[in-house]
Amino acid sequence: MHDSRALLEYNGIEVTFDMGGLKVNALRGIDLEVYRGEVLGIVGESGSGKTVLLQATLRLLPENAKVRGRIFYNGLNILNIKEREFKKILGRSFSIIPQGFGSLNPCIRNWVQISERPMEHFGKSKEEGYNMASDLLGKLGVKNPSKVAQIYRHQISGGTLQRVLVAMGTSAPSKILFVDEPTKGLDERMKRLVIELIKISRKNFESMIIVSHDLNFLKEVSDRICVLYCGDLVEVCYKREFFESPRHPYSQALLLSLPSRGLLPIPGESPSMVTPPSGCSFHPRCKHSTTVCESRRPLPFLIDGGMVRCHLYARD
Amino acid sequence: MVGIKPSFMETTGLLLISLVLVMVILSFVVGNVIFYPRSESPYSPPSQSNLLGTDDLGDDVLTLIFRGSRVSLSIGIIGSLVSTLIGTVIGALSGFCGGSLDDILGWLTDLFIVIPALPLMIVLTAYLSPSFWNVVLVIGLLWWPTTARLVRARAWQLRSSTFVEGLIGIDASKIYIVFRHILPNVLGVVLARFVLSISHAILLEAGLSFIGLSDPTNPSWGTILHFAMTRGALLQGAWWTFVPPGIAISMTSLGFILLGMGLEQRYRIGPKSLEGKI
Amino acid sequence: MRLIQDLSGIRTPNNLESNVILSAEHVSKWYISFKRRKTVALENVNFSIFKGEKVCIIGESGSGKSTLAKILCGLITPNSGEVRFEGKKLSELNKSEKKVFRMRVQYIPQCPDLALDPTWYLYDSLAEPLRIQKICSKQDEFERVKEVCERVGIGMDQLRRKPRNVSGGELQRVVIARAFILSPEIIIADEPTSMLDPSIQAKIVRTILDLQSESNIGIVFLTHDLELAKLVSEKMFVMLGGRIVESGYTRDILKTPLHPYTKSLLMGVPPKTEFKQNSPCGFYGECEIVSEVCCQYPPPESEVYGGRKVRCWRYA
Repeated sequence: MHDSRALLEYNGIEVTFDMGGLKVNALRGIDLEVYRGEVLGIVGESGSGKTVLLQATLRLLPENAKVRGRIFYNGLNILNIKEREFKKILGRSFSIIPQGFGSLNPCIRNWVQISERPMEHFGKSKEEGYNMASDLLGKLGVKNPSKVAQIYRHQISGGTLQRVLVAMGTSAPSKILFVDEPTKGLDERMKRLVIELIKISRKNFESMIIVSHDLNFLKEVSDRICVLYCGDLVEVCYKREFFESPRHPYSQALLLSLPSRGLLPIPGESPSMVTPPSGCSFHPRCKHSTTVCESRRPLPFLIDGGMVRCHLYARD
Repeated sequence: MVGIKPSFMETTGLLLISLVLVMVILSFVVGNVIFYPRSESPYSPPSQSNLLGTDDLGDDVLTLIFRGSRVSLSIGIIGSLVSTLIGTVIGALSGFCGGSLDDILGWLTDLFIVIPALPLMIVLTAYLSPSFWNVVLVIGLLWWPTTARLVRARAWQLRSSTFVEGLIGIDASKIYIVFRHILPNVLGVVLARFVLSISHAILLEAGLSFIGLSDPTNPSWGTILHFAMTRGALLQGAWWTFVPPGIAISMTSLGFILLGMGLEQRYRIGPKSLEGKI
Repeated sequence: MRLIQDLSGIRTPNNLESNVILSAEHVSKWYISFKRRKTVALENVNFSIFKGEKVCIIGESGSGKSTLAKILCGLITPNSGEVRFEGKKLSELNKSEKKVFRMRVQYIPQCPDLALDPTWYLYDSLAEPLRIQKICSKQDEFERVKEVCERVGIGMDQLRRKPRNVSGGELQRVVIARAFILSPEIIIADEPTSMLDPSIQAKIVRTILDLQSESNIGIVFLTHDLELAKLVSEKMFVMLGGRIVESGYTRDILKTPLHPYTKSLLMGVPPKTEFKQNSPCGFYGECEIVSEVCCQYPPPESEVYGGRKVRCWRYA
C-alpha cells in the first residue's frame, strides 16, 4: 500500500462537520500522495475543502469535525498517534507559513518570532536564534537584516513584513512546508515577492504543499497541481499539463475564467457543501454532462501519471 | 444552525420565570378564593389552614407572596424597560452620530456610572416619596449607563461598516439609518441586556423596600422581608415569614440572569459565524 | 452622447469640458493622528471621467485609491480641492441637487459581506434605494426590482433570503443590482472582485461590463490587477502613495509605461524598501534611476503627449 516515493500520503480522507445535528461532508474521500522533492499546489475555490485538508493534516480542525481515513507520514499514520507524539512531528518535521500579517505578534521582536521554533524544538540558544534570524532575513533579500531583526512589526513596510513572515515559516529545518493562501489579498508586486521568496526557500525543504486559489501564482511555484471541487479531488496532474491541456471540465473552465484567458465565467452557481449535487458534483455546470454524471459519482481514472475524476475518461 | 435550539441556561431561566408568571396569573385569576383569610393568631407556623403560616398581623404569607409577585415583577419589568429604552436611544445616537454629541453623551454615561447608584436611589426615593411609579422612575433613570455603553459600542462598529456607507450613498437621512438599520441590528444585544437588567431591577426594588422605601399598601417581596425584620419575626423564630420571599426573589432574579446570559451568548456570536461556514 | 472616431478606429468620447460628468480638482485628504502627525491619503489629485467612459484606477493597498473613490461619490469630504458633478461643486449643491447626485453616482464596495444590512431581507435591501428616493409606487418597485434582477442574473426567490444565507458571489450581484436600480450615470466599483474566487470574478466583471454597455454609463473600476484593467477600461490612472503618477489610455500605458512604478508593476518587480519612509516621491526608495532632485521636491505633473500625464522628474 505504501508508496516509497511518497513523503505524505492521504488515504481515503473524509471530514465530516457536525453542525447541530446536520452532517456536512467537507471532504469526500481524498487519495493523494505528496512525493519527496516536489511542490504540490492545491487549487480550489472557497468552500471546496482545501483549507480543511490542510487543517486535517495539522490537527487544526474545530471540535465538531470528524476525520476518517489515514494520513501516512514516512509510513506512520499520523491520525492515529497520540497528541504528544504528533506535536513532536509537528515541531520537527512540519513547517507552516501563516496567512496574513495577523500572525505576527505586535509585541514581540521580529527575531524572536522567526526563531521561536528552532529555539523551542531544536534547542537553539537565544544568541544562535538571533543570528539565525538575521542570516535568514539577509538571504531573503532584506538589506539591513540585523536591524530589522531587532524591531517590531509595525516599524517595517509591507515587503519586509512578507519576508519576515516567510522567514518565520522557514527558520527551522523541516521535511514539509505548508503554505496556506500565501497571496490572499496581496497586490501584484507583493505576489511576485512571495513567488521569489518561496523559490528561495524551496531548497530547504523536501516537499512543499501550497494551498491557493490563485492559478497564476501556482503556475510559478508548483510542480504538480491537484484540483479540489466541492470536497472531491477532481484532478491531479503535472503543472505543465494542467496549464496546457487540463483534463477535467472544471479545470478547463477554471482556466478560462482567468482575465488573461478570456474572463469566461463558469455557468451556474458554486455548489453548497450542505446539499452537494448528486453524482459528479460538477455536473450541473458542466457542458459535457450526461445522465451518467447525474446519477453516478465518477471513479478516479489514472492517466499519464495523473488522475482525473470524470466520466468522460472513465467511460467504458 | 447553531443557536436555534435554546441552551441549557436559557431553558432553566425560562422555567424559573414561568414559575413566577404562574404565580402572578394565579394571584389574578383565582384571587382570594384558594387563599385563606386573615387568621386569628399572629406568627402561626405553617399548617393545614395556612400553608406558609401567618405574619405578625395574622395575614397568610402565601397570599402575600402571590400578591407580592405582581408588584416585584411589574416593577422589575417596567423599570428595566425604561432603563433599556433610555440606554438604547442614548447609546445608538452617541455611537452613530459621533462627534461632540458622542462626547457629551459619553460624559453623561460616565457620570452615571461613577455615581454610586444605590445610595442615590435611596436618597431619591426617600425624597420623592416611595410609590410604585417613583421606584420605577428611579430604577429607570439610574440603571441605563451599562446598556448605553453596550449599544454605543455596537452602533460604533456598525457605523463604519460598508452598508451604512452605502446608505449614505443613496441619500438616506441619519434618523432613518439609526431607526431602520442600527436599532434592528443592536436588538439582540438590547434584548439580552433588557432581560439581565430585569433581575437587577427586581433586586434593587427588593433592596429599596427592604429598608422601607416602598408603598406599604401594595407590598412586594421586599416589603414582606422588611416587615419580618422590623416586627420581630426573627426573635419569634418565624422563619416562614422571611425565607419564602427570599427564595422567591433569588429564584426570579436567577431565572432572568440565566435567560439573559443565554441570550447574550447567542447574540455575541456574529451573524456570519452563526452560519458555521466551512 | 456625441462620439468622434479617432484614426485608429477606437471610440473616444470627445474631450469637451461639457462632457466631463464627474471630476476631482486638486483634491487632497489627510488625517491628523494621535500625536498631531499628518497622514496624507491623497495629495493634489486631478481626475475626470466622461460620459459613458470606462476608467480604471490601478494602485496597491494604501495608495489612496479607495479614498479617492469615496471622495468621488461624496462619502468623504476632501480637506482641500473640489469634486464637481456636471460642472457644479459638490460642496455647493443644495438638497435636491444632492439627491440627484446621490442617485446618479453609485458605489460598489469591495467586500460584499457587510454591504447589506444583515437583518434585512435582500428584497427590501434591493428596493430600499427606490423607497428612499421616493421615485416609484409599490407596484413599479416590484417591476423594477424584477427587471434589475434579470439583468444581473439573480432569481427572485433568492431575494427572500437574508445576506448570511447566500454566497459571496450572489451577494455581490445583489449589491451590483442595488447600484444599478437607480439607473445611475456613473458606477464606482472599489475592487469588486478582490475578495471573490476567480471564476466568480469573471462572472461579476462580465455582469458589470454588460450592464455598462447596455445603458452606456461611466464606470470607475478600482483594481490592482493589470490583466483585469486591460479588459475593463479605456483609460487608466495609476496611483502611488496618494498621488496619480501616470494617466492615459490603457493600451498606451500597458504598451509603453513611462513612470518607473508602472514599469515595475508591468514587469512584476517585487517591492524592495525596508523601512517606511517619507519622501516627496512615493517611489523614491525603489526607483532605479534616482537623481538628487527626487528626494528634495515632489515631482510635478507633466503632459508627455496628448492626454498622457506622468508625475516623475525624468519627464519634467
